Amino acid sequence: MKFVEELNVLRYYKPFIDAGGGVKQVQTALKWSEWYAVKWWEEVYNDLGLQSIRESVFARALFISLRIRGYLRDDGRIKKRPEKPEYPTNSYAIEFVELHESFDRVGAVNVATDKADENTLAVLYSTMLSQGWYRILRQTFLRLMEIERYQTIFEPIVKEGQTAMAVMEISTPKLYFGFDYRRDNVELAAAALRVKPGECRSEICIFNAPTACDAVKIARRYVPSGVDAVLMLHTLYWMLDPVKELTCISQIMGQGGKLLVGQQVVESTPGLVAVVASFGAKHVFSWKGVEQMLKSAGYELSKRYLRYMPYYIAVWEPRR
Amino acid sequence: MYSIASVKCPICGVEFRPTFRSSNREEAEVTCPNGHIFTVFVPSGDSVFDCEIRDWERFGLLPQATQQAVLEVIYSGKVPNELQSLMRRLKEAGIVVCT
Repeated sequence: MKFVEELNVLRYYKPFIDAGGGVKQVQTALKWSEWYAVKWWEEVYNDLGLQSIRESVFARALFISLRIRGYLRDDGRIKKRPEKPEYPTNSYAIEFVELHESFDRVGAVNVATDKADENTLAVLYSTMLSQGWYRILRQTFLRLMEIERYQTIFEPIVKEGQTAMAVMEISTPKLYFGFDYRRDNVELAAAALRVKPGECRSEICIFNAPTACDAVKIARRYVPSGVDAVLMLHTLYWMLDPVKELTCISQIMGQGGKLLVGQQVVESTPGLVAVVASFGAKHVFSWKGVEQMLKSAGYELSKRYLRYMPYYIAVWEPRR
Repeated sequence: MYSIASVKCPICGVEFRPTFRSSNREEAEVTCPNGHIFTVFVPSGDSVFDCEIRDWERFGLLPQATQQAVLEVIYSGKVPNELQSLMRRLKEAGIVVCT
Protein backbone atom coordinates (compact mmCIF):
# COMPACT_ATOMS: atom_id res chain seq x y z
CA MET A 1 0.00 0.00 0.00
CA LYS A 2 2.80 2.42 0.95
CA PHE A 3 4.64 1.72 -2.31
CA VAL A 4 1.49 2.36 -4.39
CA GLU A 5 0.88 5.57 -2.46
CA GLU A 6 4.44 6.75 -3.13
CA LEU A 7 4.08 6.02 -6.84
CA ASN A 8 0.81 7.95 -6.91
CA VAL A 9 2.43 10.92 -5.20
CA LEU A 10 5.03 11.06 -7.97
CA ARG A 11 2.33 10.59 -10.57
CA TYR A 12 -0.14 13.18 -9.31
CA TYR A 13 1.86 15.55 -7.18
CA LYS A 14 5.05 15.99 -9.19
CA PRO A 15 4.92 19.82 -9.55
CA PHE A 16 4.82 20.12 -5.77
CA ILE A 17 7.73 17.70 -5.32
CA ASP A 18 9.78 19.40 -8.04
CA ALA A 19 9.27 22.82 -6.45
CA GLY A 20 10.18 21.36 -3.07
CA GLY A 21 13.59 20.33 -4.41
CA GLY A 22 12.80 16.70 -5.28
CA VAL A 23 11.80 13.65 -3.28
CA LYS A 24 14.70 13.81 -0.78
CA GLN A 25 14.16 17.43 0.15
CA VAL A 26 10.41 16.91 0.57
CA GLN A 27 11.05 13.82 2.68
CA THR A 28 13.46 15.79 4.87
CA ALA A 29 10.84 18.48 5.38
CA LEU A 30 8.23 15.83 6.28
CA LYS A 31 10.65 14.23 8.76
CA TRP A 32 10.87 17.58 10.53
CA SER A 33 7.09 17.53 10.87
CA GLU A 34 7.37 14.14 12.62
CA TRP A 35 10.30 15.26 14.75
CA TYR A 36 8.43 18.34 15.98
CA ALA A 37 5.25 16.34 16.58
CA VAL A 38 7.14 13.99 18.94
CA LYS A 39 8.78 16.96 20.68
CA TRP A 40 5.42 18.70 21.18
CA TRP A 41 3.68 15.55 22.35
CA GLU A 42 6.42 14.92 24.91
CA GLU A 43 6.01 18.44 26.29
CA VAL A 44 2.21 18.15 26.41
CA TYR A 45 2.28 14.64 27.89
CA ASN A 46 4.83 15.56 30.59
CA ASP A 47 2.72 18.54 31.63
CA LEU A 48 -0.85 17.37 31.15
CA GLY A 49 -0.77 13.60 30.67
CA LEU A 50 -3.01 11.55 28.41
CA GLN A 51 -6.03 13.51 29.66
CA SER A 52 -4.92 16.28 27.27
CA ILE A 53 -6.38 14.42 24.27
CA ARG A 54 -9.88 14.87 25.68
CA GLU A 55 -9.44 18.58 26.16
CA SER A 56 -7.48 19.69 23.13
CA VAL A 57 -7.87 18.87 19.41
CA PHE A 58 -4.20 19.80 19.04
CA ALA A 59 -3.11 17.16 21.60
CA ARG A 60 -5.51 14.61 20.06
CA ALA A 61 -4.05 15.21 16.60
CA LEU A 62 -0.54 14.64 17.94
CA PHE A 63 -1.50 11.52 19.86
CA ILE A 64 -3.41 9.80 17.05
CA SER A 65 -0.92 10.59 14.30
CA LEU A 66 2.09 9.54 16.38
CA ARG A 67 0.44 6.39 17.70
CA ILE A 68 -0.38 5.09 14.21
CA ARG A 69 3.28 5.67 13.31
CA GLY A 70 4.39 3.58 16.25
CA TYR A 71 6.02 6.41 18.20
CA LEU A 72 3.69 6.14 21.19
CA ARG A 73 2.36 3.41 23.47
CA ASP A 74 -1.38 3.26 24.15
CA ASP A 75 -0.83 5.06 27.47
CA GLY A 76 0.82 7.98 25.66
CA ARG A 77 4.41 7.26 26.66
CA ILE A 78 7.02 7.61 23.93
CA LYS A 79 8.11 4.25 22.51
CA LYS A 80 10.70 5.49 20.02
CA ARG A 81 12.06 8.80 18.84
CA PRO A 82 12.82 9.94 15.31
CA GLU A 83 16.36 11.11 14.65
CA LYS A 84 16.76 14.84 14.25
CA PRO A 85 16.73 15.32 10.44
CA GLU A 86 19.20 17.38 8.45
CA TYR A 87 18.08 20.89 7.65
CA PRO A 88 16.69 21.10 4.09
CA THR A 89 18.35 23.32 1.51
CA ASN A 90 15.39 23.99 -0.80
CA SER A 91 13.72 27.29 0.06
CA TYR A 92 10.15 25.88 0.00
CA ALA A 93 11.18 22.96 2.18
CA ILE A 94 12.85 25.44 4.55
CA GLU A 95 9.64 27.52 4.68
CA PHE A 96 7.73 24.40 5.72
CA VAL A 97 10.21 23.66 8.53
CA GLU A 98 10.21 27.33 9.55
CA LEU A 99 6.45 27.18 10.10
CA HIS A 100 7.03 24.36 12.59
CA GLU A 101 9.83 26.36 14.25
CA SER A 102 7.54 29.37 14.60
CA PHE A 103 4.83 27.25 16.13
CA ASP A 104 7.37 25.67 18.46
CA ARG A 105 8.20 29.13 19.81
CA VAL A 106 4.53 29.67 20.73
CA GLY A 107 4.80 26.58 22.94
CA ALA A 108 2.94 23.27 22.63
CA VAL A 109 1.73 23.32 26.25
CA ASN A 110 0.45 26.88 25.83
CA VAL A 111 -1.53 25.74 22.81
CA ALA A 112 -2.88 22.59 24.47
CA THR A 113 -4.03 24.57 27.51
CA ASP A 114 -5.57 27.40 25.45
CA LYS A 115 -3.07 29.87 26.85
CA ALA A 116 -1.54 30.79 23.50
CA ASP A 117 -2.50 34.23 22.24
CA GLU A 118 -5.36 33.82 19.74
CA ASN A 119 -4.13 36.70 17.56
CA THR A 120 -0.67 35.18 17.32
CA LEU A 121 -2.15 31.89 16.16
CA ALA A 122 -4.31 33.75 13.61
CA VAL A 123 -1.16 35.48 12.31
CA LEU A 124 0.61 32.12 12.03
CA TYR A 125 -2.35 30.64 10.17
CA SER A 126 -2.33 33.55 7.77
CA THR A 127 1.43 33.10 7.41
CA MET A 128 0.99 29.46 6.46
CA LEU A 129 -1.66 30.32 3.87
CA SER A 130 0.65 32.90 2.28
CA GLN A 131 3.80 30.76 2.28
CA GLY A 132 5.22 29.63 -1.05
CA TRP A 133 5.06 25.90 -0.33
CA TYR A 134 1.36 26.19 0.51
CA ARG A 135 0.72 28.21 -2.67
CA ILE A 136 2.29 25.45 -4.75
CA LEU A 137 0.34 22.79 -2.85
CA ARG A 138 -2.86 24.70 -3.62
CA GLN A 139 -2.01 25.20 -7.29
CA THR A 140 -1.02 21.55 -7.72
CA PHE A 141 -4.35 20.45 -6.22
CA LEU A 142 -6.39 22.76 -8.46
CA ARG A 143 -4.50 21.66 -11.59
CA LEU A 144 -4.93 18.01 -10.65
CA MET A 145 -8.66 18.61 -10.21
CA GLU A 146 -8.75 20.39 -13.60
CA ILE A 147 -10.57 23.27 -12.00
CA GLU A 148 -10.87 25.08 -15.34
CA ARG A 149 -13.50 22.50 -16.39
CA TYR A 150 -15.99 23.86 -13.86
CA GLN A 151 -18.02 26.98 -14.61
CA THR A 152 -19.93 27.28 -11.34
CA ILE A 153 -18.12 26.58 -8.08
CA PHE A 154 -19.26 26.52 -4.46
CA GLU A 155 -16.54 26.78 -1.82
CA PRO A 156 -17.57 26.08 1.76
CA ILE A 157 -15.45 27.92 4.36
CA VAL A 158 -13.37 30.18 2.13
CA LYS A 159 -10.97 31.09 4.94
CA GLU A 160 -8.95 34.11 3.80
CA GLY A 161 -9.83 33.66 0.13
CA GLN A 162 -6.50 32.26 -1.06
CA THR A 163 -8.04 29.19 -2.69
CA ALA A 164 -10.56 31.35 -4.56
CA MET A 165 -7.72 33.63 -5.69
CA ALA A 166 -5.77 30.62 -6.91
CA VAL A 167 -8.81 29.46 -8.90
CA MET A 168 -9.05 32.89 -10.55
CA GLU A 169 -5.40 32.64 -11.56
CA ILE A 170 -6.19 29.45 -13.47
CA SER A 171 -9.64 30.10 -14.89
CA THR A 172 -12.59 32.49 -14.90
CA PRO A 173 -15.65 30.60 -13.69
CA LYS A 174 -19.09 32.06 -14.40
CA LEU A 175 -19.94 31.99 -10.71
CA TYR A 176 -17.81 31.40 -7.65
CA PHE A 177 -19.84 31.27 -4.45
CA GLY A 178 -18.00 31.04 -1.14
CA PHE A 179 -18.98 31.38 2.47
CA ASP A 180 -17.34 31.32 5.87
CA TYR A 181 -18.82 31.18 9.37
CA ARG A 182 -16.19 33.65 10.61
CA ARG A 183 -16.86 37.29 9.81
CA ASP A 184 -13.17 38.20 9.84
CA ASN A 185 -12.48 35.57 7.19
CA VAL A 186 -15.38 36.83 5.06
CA GLU A 187 -13.97 40.36 5.20
CA LEU A 188 -10.45 39.22 4.37
CA ALA A 189 -11.59 36.99 1.52
CA ALA A 190 -13.89 39.65 0.06
CA ALA A 191 -11.12 42.27 0.26
CA ALA A 192 -8.62 39.96 -1.42
CA LEU A 193 -11.12 39.15 -4.18
CA ARG A 194 -12.25 42.79 -4.44
CA VAL A 195 -15.93 42.14 -3.89
CA LYS A 196 -18.43 43.33 -1.31
CA PRO A 197 -19.24 40.68 1.30
CA GLY A 198 -22.86 39.57 1.32
CA GLU A 199 -23.53 40.70 -2.25
CA CYS A 200 -23.76 38.67 -5.40
CA ARG A 201 -23.54 41.31 -8.13
CA SER A 202 -20.43 39.97 -9.82
CA GLU A 203 -19.20 36.47 -10.60
CA ILE A 204 -17.64 36.14 -7.18
CA CYS A 205 -19.96 36.06 -4.17
CA ILE A 206 -18.68 35.82 -0.60
CA PHE A 207 -21.21 35.40 2.19
CA ASN A 208 -21.19 35.02 5.93
CA ALA A 209 -23.27 32.03 7.04
CA PRO A 210 -23.14 29.94 10.20
CA THR A 211 -23.10 26.58 8.43
CA ALA A 212 -22.99 25.07 4.94
CA CYS A 213 -26.73 24.35 5.26
CA ASP A 214 -27.45 28.09 5.63
CA ALA A 215 -25.04 28.98 2.83
CA VAL A 216 -26.64 26.48 0.45
CA LYS A 217 -30.02 28.17 0.97
CA ILE A 218 -28.50 31.52 -0.07
CA ALA A 219 -26.54 30.03 -2.97
CA ARG A 220 -29.61 28.34 -4.45
CA ARG A 221 -31.08 31.78 -5.12
CA TYR A 222 -28.21 32.50 -7.51
CA VAL A 223 -27.69 29.02 -8.98
CA PRO A 224 -31.10 27.30 -8.87
CA SER A 225 -29.87 24.50 -11.12
CA GLY A 226 -26.91 23.78 -8.84
CA VAL A 227 -23.15 24.11 -9.27
CA ASP A 228 -20.68 22.09 -11.31
CA ALA A 229 -18.22 21.65 -8.46
CA VAL A 230 -17.88 22.01 -4.73
CA LEU A 231 -14.32 22.80 -3.77
CA MET A 232 -13.11 21.60 -0.36
CA LEU A 233 -9.38 22.01 0.11
CA HIS A 234 -8.50 21.42 3.77
CA THR A 235 -12.03 22.37 4.76
CA LEU A 236 -13.69 19.31 6.31
CA TYR A 237 -12.06 19.70 9.72
CA TRP A 238 -13.41 23.22 10.12
CA MET A 239 -17.03 22.02 9.98
CA LEU A 240 -18.86 21.62 13.25
CA ASP A 241 -21.00 18.73 12.00
CA PRO A 242 -19.35 17.48 8.78
CA VAL A 243 -21.89 14.76 7.85
CA LYS A 244 -24.84 17.13 8.26
CA GLU A 245 -23.12 19.91 6.34
CA LEU A 246 -21.97 17.57 3.57
CA THR A 247 -25.56 16.35 3.21
CA CYS A 248 -26.71 19.96 2.77
CA ILE A 249 -23.90 20.61 0.29
CA SER A 250 -25.15 17.79 -1.96
CA GLN A 251 -28.32 19.91 -2.47
CA ILE A 252 -26.36 22.66 -4.22
CA MET A 253 -24.74 20.23 -6.65
CA GLY A 254 -26.19 20.21 -10.15
CA GLN A 255 -26.49 17.25 -12.50
CA GLY A 256 -23.04 15.65 -12.78
CA GLY A 257 -21.68 17.92 -10.06
CA LYS A 258 -18.41 16.91 -8.38
CA LEU A 259 -17.11 17.28 -4.86
CA LEU A 260 -13.38 17.98 -5.03
CA VAL A 261 -11.79 16.98 -1.73
CA GLY A 262 -8.29 17.66 -0.46
CA GLN A 263 -7.90 16.97 3.23
CA GLN A 264 -5.01 16.64 5.68
CA VAL A 265 -5.40 13.45 7.66
CA VAL A 266 -3.60 11.92 10.62
CA GLU A 267 -1.58 9.68 8.30
CA SER A 268 -0.17 12.80 6.53
CA THR A 269 2.24 15.17 8.24
CA PRO A 270 1.75 14.83 12.01
CA GLY A 271 3.24 18.17 13.02
CA LEU A 272 1.32 20.09 10.38
CA VAL A 273 -1.98 18.37 11.17
CA ALA A 274 -1.52 19.37 14.81
CA VAL A 275 -0.55 22.93 13.91
CA VAL A 276 -3.73 23.34 11.84
CA ALA A 277 -5.77 21.81 14.67
CA SER A 278 -4.42 24.55 16.93
CA PHE A 279 -5.65 27.17 14.47
CA GLY A 280 -9.22 26.16 15.26
CA ALA A 281 -9.93 22.93 13.38
CA LYS A 282 -12.68 20.99 15.08
CA HIS A 283 -11.74 17.45 14.10
CA VAL A 284 -8.88 15.20 13.15
CA PHE A 285 -9.59 12.53 10.55
CA SER A 286 -7.97 9.44 9.17
CA TRP A 287 -8.30 8.99 5.40
CA LYS A 288 -10.72 6.12 5.98
CA GLY A 289 -12.66 8.34 8.36
CA VAL A 290 -13.00 10.96 5.62
CA GLU A 291 -14.36 8.35 3.22
CA GLN A 292 -16.80 6.92 5.76
CA MET A 293 -18.07 10.40 6.47
CA LEU A 294 -18.61 11.15 2.78
CA LYS A 295 -20.42 7.84 2.28
CA SER A 296 -22.74 8.46 5.20
CA ALA A 297 -23.49 11.92 3.83
CA GLY A 298 -24.74 10.31 0.59
CA TYR A 299 -21.73 10.52 -1.73
CA GLU A 300 -19.95 7.92 -3.81
CA LEU A 301 -16.30 7.86 -4.78
CA SER A 302 -15.62 8.93 -8.35
CA LYS A 303 -11.81 8.84 -8.23
CA ARG A 304 -9.27 8.65 -5.44
CA TYR A 305 -5.85 10.15 -6.26
CA LEU A 306 -4.04 9.97 -2.93
CA ARG A 307 -4.85 8.43 0.43
CA TYR A 308 -2.69 10.50 2.74
CA MET A 309 0.59 11.68 1.25
CA PRO A 310 0.95 14.64 1.21
CA TYR A 311 -2.80 14.59 2.04
CA TYR A 312 -6.04 12.88 1.01
CA ILE A 313 -7.20 13.81 -2.50
CA ALA A 314 -10.31 12.47 -4.24
CA VAL A 315 -13.33 13.37 -6.33
CA TRP A 316 -16.78 12.38 -5.04
CA GLU A 317 -20.29 12.79 -6.37
CA PRO A 318 -23.74 12.58 -4.79
CA ARG A 319 -25.35 9.12 -4.97
CA ARG A 320 -28.35 9.60 -7.25
CA MET B 1 -18.25 43.52 -11.78
CA TYR B 2 -15.11 45.30 -10.67
CA SER B 3 -14.42 48.85 -11.78
CA ILE B 4 -11.40 51.16 -11.79
CA ALA B 5 -10.96 54.90 -12.36
CA SER B 6 -11.87 56.44 -15.75
CA VAL B 7 -9.70 55.58 -18.71
CA LYS B 8 -9.32 57.12 -22.15
CA CYS B 9 -9.77 54.93 -25.19
CA PRO B 10 -6.48 55.09 -27.17
CA ILE B 11 -8.40 54.72 -30.47
CA CYS B 12 -11.36 57.15 -30.29
CA GLY B 13 -10.37 59.15 -27.19
CA VAL B 14 -13.67 58.66 -25.34
CA GLU B 15 -13.36 58.69 -21.56
CA PHE B 16 -15.28 56.03 -19.66
CA ARG B 17 -15.22 53.97 -16.51
CA PRO B 18 -14.60 50.35 -17.47
CA THR B 19 -15.98 47.39 -15.59
CA PHE B 20 -14.72 43.86 -15.80
CA ARG B 21 -14.65 40.62 -13.86
CA SER B 22 -13.08 40.76 -10.41
CA SER B 23 -9.53 39.74 -10.96
CA ASN B 24 -6.13 39.40 -9.37
CA ARG B 25 -4.47 39.85 -12.70
CA GLU B 26 -2.48 42.99 -13.41
CA GLU B 27 -4.02 43.49 -16.83
CA ALA B 28 -7.60 43.40 -18.05
CA GLU B 29 -9.18 43.66 -21.46
CA VAL B 30 -11.87 46.36 -21.68
CA THR B 31 -14.21 47.62 -24.40
CA CYS B 32 -14.96 51.32 -24.83
CA PRO B 33 -18.55 52.54 -25.54
CA ASN B 34 -17.60 52.68 -29.26
CA GLY B 35 -16.58 49.03 -29.29
CA HIS B 36 -12.77 49.41 -29.29
CA ILE B 37 -10.99 46.73 -27.29
CA PHE B 38 -7.76 47.48 -25.42
CA THR B 39 -5.83 46.43 -22.35
CA VAL B 40 -5.64 48.40 -19.11
CA PHE B 41 -3.29 48.02 -16.17
CA VAL B 42 -5.07 47.09 -12.95
CA PRO B 43 -3.09 47.88 -9.82
CA SER B 44 -2.93 44.72 -7.72
CA GLY B 45 -2.74 44.74 -3.95
CA ASP B 46 -3.10 47.61 -1.50
CA SER B 47 -0.82 50.29 -0.19
CA VAL B 48 0.20 50.97 3.38
CA PHE B 49 1.69 54.18 4.76
CA ASP B 50 3.97 54.87 7.69
CA CYS B 51 3.91 51.41 9.18
CA GLU B 52 6.22 50.09 11.83
CA ILE B 53 6.73 46.94 13.84
CA ARG B 54 5.31 47.67 17.28
CA ASP B 55 5.71 44.25 18.89
CA TRP B 56 9.12 42.82 17.95
CA GLU B 57 8.74 39.88 20.33
CA ARG B 58 5.68 38.52 18.55
CA PHE B 59 7.02 39.57 15.16
CA GLY B 60 10.05 37.38 15.95
CA LEU B 61 7.74 34.35 16.12
CA LEU B 62 7.15 34.55 12.37
CA PRO B 63 9.26 32.50 9.95
CA GLN B 64 12.36 34.34 8.74
CA ALA B 65 11.17 34.58 5.13
CA THR B 66 7.81 36.00 6.25
CA GLN B 67 9.53 38.58 8.46
CA GLN B 68 11.57 39.72 5.48
CA ALA B 69 8.50 39.88 3.25
CA VAL B 70 6.63 42.00 5.83
CA LEU B 71 9.60 44.34 6.24
CA GLU B 72 9.74 44.78 2.48
CA VAL B 73 6.04 45.67 2.45
CA ILE B 74 6.67 48.27 5.15
CA TYR B 75 9.67 49.77 3.32
CA SER B 76 7.96 49.83 -0.08
CA GLY B 77 4.44 50.68 1.11
CA LYS B 78 3.01 48.15 -1.36
CA VAL B 79 1.18 45.03 -0.27
CA PRO B 80 1.13 42.21 -2.81
CA ASN B 81 -2.15 40.32 -3.00
CA GLU B 82 -0.80 37.21 -1.30
CA LEU B 83 0.27 39.23 1.76
CA GLN B 84 -2.89 41.32 2.15
CA SER B 85 -4.55 39.05 4.69
CA LEU B 86 -1.37 38.60 6.70
CA MET B 87 -0.82 42.38 6.88
CA ARG B 88 -4.38 42.84 8.12
CA ARG B 89 -3.91 40.14 10.75
CA LEU B 90 -0.62 41.72 11.88
CA LYS B 91 -2.37 45.07 12.26
CA GLU B 92 -5.31 43.51 14.14
CA ALA B 93 -2.88 41.77 16.48
CA GLY B 94 -1.07 45.07 17.12
CA ILE B 95 2.20 43.63 15.85
CA VAL B 96 2.32 46.15 13.00
CA VAL B 97 0.96 49.65 13.43
CA CYS B 98 0.22 51.99 10.52
CA THR B 99 -0.67 55.64 10.90
